[in-house]
Amino acid sequence: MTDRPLGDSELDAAIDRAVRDLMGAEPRADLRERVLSELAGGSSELAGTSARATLWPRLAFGLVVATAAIVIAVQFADRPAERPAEQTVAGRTAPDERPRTDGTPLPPAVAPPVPPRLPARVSGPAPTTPPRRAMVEDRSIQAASIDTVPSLGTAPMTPLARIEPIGLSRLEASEIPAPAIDIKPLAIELLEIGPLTPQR
Amino acid sequence: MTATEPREPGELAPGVDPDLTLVRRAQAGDTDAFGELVQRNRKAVFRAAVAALGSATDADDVAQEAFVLAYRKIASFRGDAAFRTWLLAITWRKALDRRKSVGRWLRLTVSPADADSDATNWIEQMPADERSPEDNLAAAQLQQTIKRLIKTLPRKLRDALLLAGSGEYSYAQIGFILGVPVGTVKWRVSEARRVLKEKMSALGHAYDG
Repeated sequence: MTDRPLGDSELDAAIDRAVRDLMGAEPRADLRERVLSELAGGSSELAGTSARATLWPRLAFGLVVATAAIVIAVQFADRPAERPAEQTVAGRTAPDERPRTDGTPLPPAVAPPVPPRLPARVSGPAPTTPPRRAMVEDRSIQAASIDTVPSLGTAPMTPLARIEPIGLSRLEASEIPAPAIDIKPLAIELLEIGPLTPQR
Repeated sequence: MTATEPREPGELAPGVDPDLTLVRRAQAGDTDAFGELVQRNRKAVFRAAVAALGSATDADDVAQEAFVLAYRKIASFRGDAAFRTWLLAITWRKALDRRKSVGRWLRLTVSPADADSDATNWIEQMPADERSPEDNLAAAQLQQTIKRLIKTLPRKLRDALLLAGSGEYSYAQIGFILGVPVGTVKWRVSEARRVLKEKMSALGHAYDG
């Protein structure tokens, strides 16, 4: 056989040989003994093989599930517990801003009781990471301790003025002058048809 | 009939199944009879697994597992099909499980050299003939190319081609194993050959048309 291209029958023969080669492997001679010993329960070889075959997918599945659970847990843990500023402002007892008719003065805004700050640590080893609950409470305290709200200021407003209608002149129709169209007959010249001269 | 000869299936005629007597004894708990069934069918089972997996090592494990599973399920064998056909169907399902297994994928990914070792062995086992060393080398390279192309075939075509080309199974048995009609098996084999020839032609190994 050389490098020349093969014909169809030669290709078929080559494919047949390749398939026979691929399928020509022989099983191990001790297959019968291994099967019988497994059936007798005396061999752990197959059990180990089967266990490996089924253990891998289980391990992989478990690994994926565990990883997904950890990722989700981390995502939820890193998210801020609430929006503390909005919560504390909403928690304030805002004064009633409707106009009072009885002339009594407006009551001052009352802040909800502020939890005491955690005492400063004086001595002892500092923990590597502070408790998460303490961190959240700190945020609330800082937000609740804002007593001065920046004033927005007032701008004088002028009353609305009357809008005057817009005056429009009356529309008048006028004719458009069109030039007269002059139609002339076409001048057609006489055609002469003669025989063609053959060419070679 | 010897253990290694290909056998016509005779699926629907239990009377002609040469394994039936041994099967009945095995169903009664005779493990020696089952051992004889293993000996008779081991090559057919092993080669079906090789066709599915392409690896002698994996095929050997699957063959063992298939025989053990067959023994455990042998009480449910009714003789509607030949025992060998029934056994091959079990083997094929086991082999497909192995083919999909994560462990095998990892093994082939981590050490792909192991997957090709069988192919290397096959090439080394090719018989030397009377041709010149250059011709033998060219023939070996051609065989290697075809084997590589066979491995790149779509699975359905490759499975049918390998099972049919092994000479171990009839088309009816292959159809039973793959769960498709005989006509589909024949079409897949033909299509696999056509695709291979097309690829060989593209590589300059064949005449166009």
